[in-house]
Amino acid sequence: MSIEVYFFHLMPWPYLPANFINTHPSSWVTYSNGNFDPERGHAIYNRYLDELAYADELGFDGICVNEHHQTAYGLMPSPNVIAAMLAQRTKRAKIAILGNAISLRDHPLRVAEEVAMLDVITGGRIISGFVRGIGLEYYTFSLDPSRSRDRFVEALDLIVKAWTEPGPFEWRGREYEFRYVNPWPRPLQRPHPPIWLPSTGSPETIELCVERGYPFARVYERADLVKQVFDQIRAKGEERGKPMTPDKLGWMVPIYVAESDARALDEAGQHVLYLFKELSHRPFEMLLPPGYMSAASMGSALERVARRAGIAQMTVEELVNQGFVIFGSPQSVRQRLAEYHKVMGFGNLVALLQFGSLPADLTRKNMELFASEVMPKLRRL
Amino acid sequence: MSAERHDLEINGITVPCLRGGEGQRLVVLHAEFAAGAWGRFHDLLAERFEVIVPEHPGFGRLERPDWLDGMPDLVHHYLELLDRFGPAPFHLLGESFGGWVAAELAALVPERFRSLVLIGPMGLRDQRARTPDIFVMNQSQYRQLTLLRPDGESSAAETSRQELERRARVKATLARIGWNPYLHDPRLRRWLHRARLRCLLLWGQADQFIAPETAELWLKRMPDARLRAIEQAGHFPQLEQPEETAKAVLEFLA
Repeated sequence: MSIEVYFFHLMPWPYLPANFINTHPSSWVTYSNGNFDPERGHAIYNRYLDELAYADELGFDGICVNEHHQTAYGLMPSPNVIAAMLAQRTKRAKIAILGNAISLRDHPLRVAEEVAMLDVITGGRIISGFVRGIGLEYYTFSLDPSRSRDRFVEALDLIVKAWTEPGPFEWRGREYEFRYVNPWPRPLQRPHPPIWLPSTGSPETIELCVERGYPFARVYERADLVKQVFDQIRAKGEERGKPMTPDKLGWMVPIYVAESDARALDEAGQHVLYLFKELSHRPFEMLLPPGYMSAASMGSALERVARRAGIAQMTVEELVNQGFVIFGSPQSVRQRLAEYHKVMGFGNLVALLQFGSLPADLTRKNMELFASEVMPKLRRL
Repeated sequence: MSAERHDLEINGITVPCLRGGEGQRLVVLHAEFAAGAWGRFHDLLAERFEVIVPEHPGFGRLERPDWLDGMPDLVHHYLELLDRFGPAPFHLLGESFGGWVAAELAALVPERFRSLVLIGPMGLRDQRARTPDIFVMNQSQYRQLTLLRPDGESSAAETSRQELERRARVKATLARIGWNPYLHDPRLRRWLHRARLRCLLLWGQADQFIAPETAELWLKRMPDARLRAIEQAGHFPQLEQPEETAKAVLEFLA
């Protein structure tokens, strides 16, 4: 039993001013793009692309990109554009788009087309994640968040049908109506590229993953809560007679490896806090807009957000102790991962090895140490 | 005076209505968060009229019905409700979101109404003014925006889990109708001139939510409308100046 190891990049903007949290209401949606410096942008995009390509050389099973809008949190409003560059710069690694925010598209067939293009061009190296887009992005596009869930499920059904059934056919749904569905090209992988659903683990998403057998990926969170969601999914899978095996469970977690535990905290501490504080700085009402979740889900989300407010106050040591992140010497990181793997039973580790404001030299060192000292051990878990 | 509650079964749902007073019928379409509320303003109106306040579906205790997918559905819902009231025309009053609904109805079937009163209505968008985004606001911020004198902290009842969920539900329904275009209807702008009715527009002078200048748009399209500003009031003069606001309505309807 071995696990697959992915290298995930969020492409964050590392240049928020000092004291940002106390001087700005949000690093999302309303933080002026006047603060985006294209010269710096040019350099940082190319640095991040180099890091993704380097992960292919280092032997990661896959490299991952994602979609966010109007934010310093991540500079990939179009993950497919980045994936297209990686298609040309890499030869071996899978390219996981985690994911395309299909509910935000007025024409989800554009996603069906673009992902099919990538799959054909790369010879079938694409993993196609789908997400709804987080609540803030419904402000970004002035899209009614109360339609988000319905649009997601319908767009997903439409894309899968467009990939698997010969067109042209007609689509008449409640959210979308198209008279001619017949996208060229079709994807290379049969029946279609693997579909992953990266999520916080709402009951609706768990239901979808189990019913359709889509791998689930949990974004970084307190480790015991990640385990809780995995347990729920496994239980639901057993109940339905559709087991959610380890290859269908992924954990996305920031990891930093250094020569010693102390050095790991010392080198990367402030940079990961930049992810949890500055880049995650946004008002609750924007994060969870009206109707984005059912009233029932809203209840648990309220509790989670109350905890998130606490996260912004946390120290690096607390983040490490609670398993939001894994920091330490190769020995410590190997040990923590083995322990977490034992209790969580994930089959896909999605490692965030650049995070927040982590600079190029430390990112490279982290990647190399992880690839040489940790990854081989993960192959034998 | 207290209102009695009675329910109407309509379009597969139960619509709770509050009713009080006697006289000519005056139907009140409530503001976005005011479902089930009956206050001093309503009492004063009920001294002279039979006041009926139906609850908008999805704005009170009940989930948004599946058929409610936008303003046209709500308008058709109210057309059916009008039929229940019989053919005799009545007075129609709408507050904020309810004002928008009332204006849509007045443009569509003006013959059904004796007169129209709009208090700080949504429905038309003044291009000169930026309408603040109430969806990003929590309740305290919304009170700051809509009231001239927000009275202190939110009470415990207002921050209970049940109340938070109820407000989340109302906001979700409001989003379904007014997320984009934002709390207005470009078609209403084109067809409002069909509302050939006696109309009274009431606006709190210190309304920071829907700017009082917006009244010009309404007056331009409704030749038989007059404007009355209520002093010392924000977006809800009926809450902050109930005597003055009810007096203006009663004088107009007399």
